[in-house]
Amino acid sequence: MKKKLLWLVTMLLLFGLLMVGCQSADDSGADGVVTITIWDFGGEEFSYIDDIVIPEFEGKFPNIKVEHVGVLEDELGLKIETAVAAGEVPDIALFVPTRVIAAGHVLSLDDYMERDGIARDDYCSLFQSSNITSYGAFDDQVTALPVEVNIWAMIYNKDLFADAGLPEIGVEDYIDMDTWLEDARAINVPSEDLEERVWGSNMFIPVFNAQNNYMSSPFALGDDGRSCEGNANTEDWMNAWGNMVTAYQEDLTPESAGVWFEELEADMFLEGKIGMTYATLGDAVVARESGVNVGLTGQPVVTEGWSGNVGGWLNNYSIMAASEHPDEAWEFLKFLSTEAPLDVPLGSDMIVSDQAGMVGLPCYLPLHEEGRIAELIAEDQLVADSVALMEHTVPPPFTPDTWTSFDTFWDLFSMVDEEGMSVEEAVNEATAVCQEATDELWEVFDSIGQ
Amino acid sequence: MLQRGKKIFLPKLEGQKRREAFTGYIFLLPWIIGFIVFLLIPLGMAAYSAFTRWILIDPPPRWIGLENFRTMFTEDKDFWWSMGITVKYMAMTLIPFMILGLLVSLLLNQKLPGMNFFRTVLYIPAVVSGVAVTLLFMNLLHPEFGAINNFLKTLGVANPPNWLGSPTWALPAVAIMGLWGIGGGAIIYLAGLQNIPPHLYEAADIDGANSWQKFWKITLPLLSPTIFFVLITGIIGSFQVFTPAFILGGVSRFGPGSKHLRFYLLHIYIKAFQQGRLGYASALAWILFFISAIVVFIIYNRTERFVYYEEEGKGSL
Repeated sequence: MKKKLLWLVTMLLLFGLLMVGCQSADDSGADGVVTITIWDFGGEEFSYIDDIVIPEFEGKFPNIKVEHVGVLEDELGLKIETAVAAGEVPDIALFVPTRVIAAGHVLSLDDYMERDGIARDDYCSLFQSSNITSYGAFDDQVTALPVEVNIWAMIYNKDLFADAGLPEIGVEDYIDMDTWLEDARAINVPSEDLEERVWGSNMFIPVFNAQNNYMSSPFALGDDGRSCEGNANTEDWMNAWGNMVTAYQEDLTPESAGVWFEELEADMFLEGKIGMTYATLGDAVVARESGVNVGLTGQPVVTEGWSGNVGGWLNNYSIMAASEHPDEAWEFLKFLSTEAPLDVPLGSDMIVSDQAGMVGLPCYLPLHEEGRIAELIAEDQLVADSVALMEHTVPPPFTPDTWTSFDTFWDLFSMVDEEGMSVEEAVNEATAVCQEATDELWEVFDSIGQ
Repeated sequence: MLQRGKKIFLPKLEGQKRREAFTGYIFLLPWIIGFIVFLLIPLGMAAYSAFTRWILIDPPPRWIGLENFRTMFTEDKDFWWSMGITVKYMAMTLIPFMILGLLVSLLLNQKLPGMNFFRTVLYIPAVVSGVAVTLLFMNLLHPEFGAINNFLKTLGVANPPNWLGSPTWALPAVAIMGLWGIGGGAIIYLAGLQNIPPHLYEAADIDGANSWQKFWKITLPLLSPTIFFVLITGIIGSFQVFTPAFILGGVSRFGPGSKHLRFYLLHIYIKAFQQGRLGYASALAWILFFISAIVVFIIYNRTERFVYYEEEGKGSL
C-alpha cells in the first residue's frame, strides 16, 4: 500500500512539474494588463528610463506594464542573438545587431509611423544614415527609433591653447592631421613630474573615430563598405598614420606610455593635463563643470579640406518581430522617442540636479523647439555648438560590423615601433588584414537568409 | 550449436534482486538523464554541427560536409595564428610550471612550524577567480604605473617592457601570470610526496645515502605518476587558456598586443559568438579535441615507461 502511495505521489509530482514547464508564456493578466520588456545597457546611464520614463508611461497607459532589463554592453548583442535563437525575445531592444535585422527578426515601423504621423524627416540627420551606429533603416524600412543623438567630436583646453600661443578652434573651423600634430607639439610639456606634465593630445586614431564618420574621402572601407584595399591605404591615410606614429614616438600623447584606457584619458583631460581629446557633448559639459576652460569643435580630418569632421551615434531601439505585444511595444517606443526626453535631465541639468539623464540631445527634432530643450539650445554655448556640429556629420556606408575591419590598425604603432616597419609597410600590411576581415564579415552577412 | 526446439535456460534474477536492481536504476536515473541531456546530446549536436553551416540567428543548420574543415586549414589564417600562440604559451609555461611546482612542493614538504600557513598562502592563487587574477596583473604590468616596471626601473632598466601593449611582451606577460598559479601544481606534488613511504628514506639513511641520492633514487621515481599527471593536465590546461586572453586581448578595441593574445579558445569564441558561426566554431572545437587527444596519446605512449607504479610494478626506471 505504501509503495503504491509513493508511486502515486511521484507521478503527481512529475505531472505537476511537466505542467509548470509547459505552461503558456502569455503574460496578459486577468485584469487585461500587458507586460512588455525592454533591453538595453541598464545601469546609471539608463536609469532615467526607470526613474522618469516608465512611471510617466505607465501613468498614461495603465494597461501596459514595462519591465526594463539592463544587460552589459559587451553582452547585449550576443544576448539578443541567443534570445532570437531560443525564441524568447524582449519586445524592445537597443542596438539590435545588423545580422539580426537582416535575418528579419525586427519589425518594420513604417506603418506605425505613418499611422501616427511621424516622418523620417522629423529625426536628426544621422537617422537618415545606413551606418551601423546610426542606422534607422534597413532595406528602406525603418527598423528602429532613436532616443538621443550623441556627437563624437573634439574638446580642447582653451587655456593650454592660449599658453602655447595657439588660436581657439571654432565649430566651423577644420583642422587636418598635420595641424593636429603641430598643435600637439606646441602644447606638450615634457616632465618627469606628473604635476608639471602636459600632453599635447590624446591619440586620434583616425579609423577608430571613422567608425561612424567619414573622416576621409574616400571612406576607409570604400563607397560600398567592402574595400579596405585602395581606401584605407591612400596617400592621405599614410600621412595621417605618419603623424600618429610621430606623435606616439615623440611622447606627445598619454598612449605613448602604453595608457590606452579611455577612462584614464578622460580623467587626465579633466585635470587640465591634455590639450585635445575626442569627446561627446556630455564629456564637454563634465569638463566645463570640472573647471576646464573647454572648447568644442570637430575632430582632425584625414583628407585636407574634407568637411565631415564629426561622428555620432544614436540610441536606437527596435521592436522584435517575435514580440507578442507589438502594438503596446510601439506605444512605449513612440513615447520614449518623441515625448519622454522633454522631462529627462539633459547636459548640465544632470550635474545640477545630480540626477541621471540623457548625455546627448533628442534626435526627434520637434523636441528641440520645446520646453527645457529649447532653452538649453538657446542659452548653453556647448549645447548650441553641439547642434551646429551635428551638421558636420557625413555618415559612411553600411558595414556589418563597426570594429572588426579596423581592429588590425591598432597594431600599427607596434609594427613601426617594435618590428621596425616603415609607416607605409605597416599601413599596407594592416590594410591587407583589414580586407580579409572585411571579406569574412560580408561573406557571413551576405549568406543570411539564403 | 543449438538445436531447434530446445529451450535455452538463462539464469533469472530472483524477485528481490530484480527489485533491488530496479531501485538502483531509479536512483541512477537523475544522473543518467543528466548525462544524456547535458553531455551525450550536446556532444552529438556539436559533432553534427561541425559539418553544417549554422549561423546563430539564421537557422536551420545546413549540411555542408567537410567545408568547415577545408576553410579552417586553407583559408582561416587566424586558425594557424591562434594555434601558434597557444603552442608558444605551452612552451613558455609547461616546463617551468612543472619544475617550479616541484621545487615549491619540496619546500612545503619540510616539517617546520607554520608550514600549513605557507601551504595555504601558496595555494590561494589557485582558488582565486581567473578574472580577479587577470585584473590584478593588468595593474601590476601597467607600463607606467605598474609595480613590476617600477621595480625594474629601480634595478636600472631604463625602458622596461610595455608588457600587454607590446606584441613582443604580451604573451610572456600572460605566461608570467600563468606561472603565478604554481601553488595548484605544488599541492598535487605535495600529495604525491606524502604518499612516499618514510621507511624507504630510513633505509637509505642507514645505507648512507645523501639528500641528492635520496631525491634522485627515491623521491623522483615514486613521484613519477604525479609528475606524469601534472604534465598531462598541464598540456590540456594550456590548450584551454581563455580568461586572460579574453580580458587582456579581448575580441576587439583593446589596442596593440591584442592580436598576440589570440589564443585558440578565444578564436573559437570569436567565431561562435562574435560572428555567430556556430557550425564553424564546432569544427574548431573538435579539432582542438583531436589535437589534445593526439598529443596526450603520444606523450602517454612515449613516457609511460618512465613512470613507476608501485602497486603493480608497472613501468621501469
